[in-house]
Amino acid sequence: MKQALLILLLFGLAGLSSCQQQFEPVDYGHDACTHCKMTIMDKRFAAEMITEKGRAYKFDDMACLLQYMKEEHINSVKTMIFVSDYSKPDNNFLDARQAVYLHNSDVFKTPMDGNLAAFATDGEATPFKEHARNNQLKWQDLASKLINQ
Amino acid sequence: MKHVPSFLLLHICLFSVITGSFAAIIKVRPAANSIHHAADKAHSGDTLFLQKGVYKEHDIIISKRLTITGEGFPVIDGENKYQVFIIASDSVVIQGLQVQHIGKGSIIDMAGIKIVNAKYVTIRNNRFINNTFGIYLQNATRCYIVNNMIHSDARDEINGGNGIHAWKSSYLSITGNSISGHRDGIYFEFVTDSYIAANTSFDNARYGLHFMFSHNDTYTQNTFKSNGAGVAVMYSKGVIMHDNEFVHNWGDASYGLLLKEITDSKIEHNQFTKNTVGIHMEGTTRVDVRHNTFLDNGWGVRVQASCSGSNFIENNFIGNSFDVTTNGTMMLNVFNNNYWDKYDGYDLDKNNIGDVSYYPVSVYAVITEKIPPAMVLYRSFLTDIMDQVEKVMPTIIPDMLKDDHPLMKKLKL
Repeated sequence: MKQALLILLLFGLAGLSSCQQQFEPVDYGHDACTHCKMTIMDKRFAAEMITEKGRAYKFDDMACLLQYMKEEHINSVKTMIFVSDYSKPDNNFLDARQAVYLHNSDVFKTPMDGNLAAFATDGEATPFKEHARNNQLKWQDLASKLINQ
Repeated sequence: MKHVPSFLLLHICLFSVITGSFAAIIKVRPAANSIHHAADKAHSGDTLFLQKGVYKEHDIIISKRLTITGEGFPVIDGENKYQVFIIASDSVVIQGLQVQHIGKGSIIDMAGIKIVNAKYVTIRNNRFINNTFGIYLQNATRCYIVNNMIHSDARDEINGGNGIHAWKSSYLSITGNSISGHRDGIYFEFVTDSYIAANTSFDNARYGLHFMFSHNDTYTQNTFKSNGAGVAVMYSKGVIMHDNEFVHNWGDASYGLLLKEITDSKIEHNQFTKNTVGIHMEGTTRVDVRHNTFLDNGWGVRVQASCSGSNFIENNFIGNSFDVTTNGTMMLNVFNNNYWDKYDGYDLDKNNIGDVSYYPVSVYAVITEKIPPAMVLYRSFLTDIMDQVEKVMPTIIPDMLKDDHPLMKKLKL
């Protein structure tokens, strides 16, 4: 009886760990972007998506993530989306739906020409606003702005 | 004798005109801001002759047509904080210098030599050591980057820059350079009608050569060796690649040559040796792959189902674990007249062409494409059985992907 319980418990644990929606750190210089296949190198512009089933997809540019979501018809709100914090890029990821974005092709040269930088708050974006000519965006605006390039 | 004075006079006049327009050679010795001062004083057409030594100067803006020549490789040091040369004038020549220790900027990309909005600039026989970006071209036209040595010790390979970085430029000629230890050896974004030849790009963190949105470029006789992920050519059309060597680009996401969204291009007479994947193609249209040799690669060619109108003709496939693999059953590309060392058909009419078709995609290639971890069972007894069964009763392998005229003998390329 005790053994059976133990086995059950073990299986239960295994089940839990595999289905949890959890952020997976990006291994820079090794992980490849799901969409464009390039090796992810730039800490400032990486993004990650975790599906409802807990599988993590990593991207080197917000434009790649958005394009991938569009192509694969991913629009569930349960999908977790993270984006690298431009001002603190050391594996510090933000909830992409809450982040503030600046868009400028001269200042933010992202790997796939999405040219988008993410910030935690409006305040943190302020020092860069002048360079980016105030081209500020929210999550809702991104899809229309980037995908039809 | 009456003519002589006027004749002489003419000579004197001409001579003075020539000497008057003659460019001056200004010798520069290491001192505080000596290059800055010399560049300020100089006139267009002058030569700055830098003596041997260490110059700790930065942000030297060249806005006149100057030639800067170094004797015995004078060192210009950015002290890991600054950038060194910014060229903003046409027809500048920089040669024989050693530019080192360029800093890192968060907003601007710092480079050893930056060419901004200029034409006919020549960067020749220089050494670039431990810089973020080696040579950086922005809106440059008809510039020559020749025989430079660009090396970084990869202190911070993830945040590092590219050896030669070109952006929104055209008609560049990049030849005979040796680039190592950078993020990408040569990086092109929006660069058209350019020529890249006889460069060696090795041990770079990401790609030996990286093309993005760059049309009508040719690269030839280059060697790309042991780069983190090989060479990537993406979102471009009219790219000609011939006589290059892609050697030992090994790793999980590594490719000899990664092609994505490439149209109307040619890949000829290249050598793909010991790469994880020789060529990986995705979303390509009308790409001609001819007279190449694929030797000892994990996968010779990986053609995704999104590719169409490509021809694979007269290539050698020798010693690859898998010659060809694909992720679908549709095949809109042609394989013909290739040599496959795994072909075990016969040639009864002795015309040097096998009488039965060759199917280059093996069963196990299909299986590992769908379930990558299945690779652990490769070359086991089980896979041998599957191979034999498939030969008798083909069910899994895409039957549209075949070579109807496989060659019996290796092509001499």
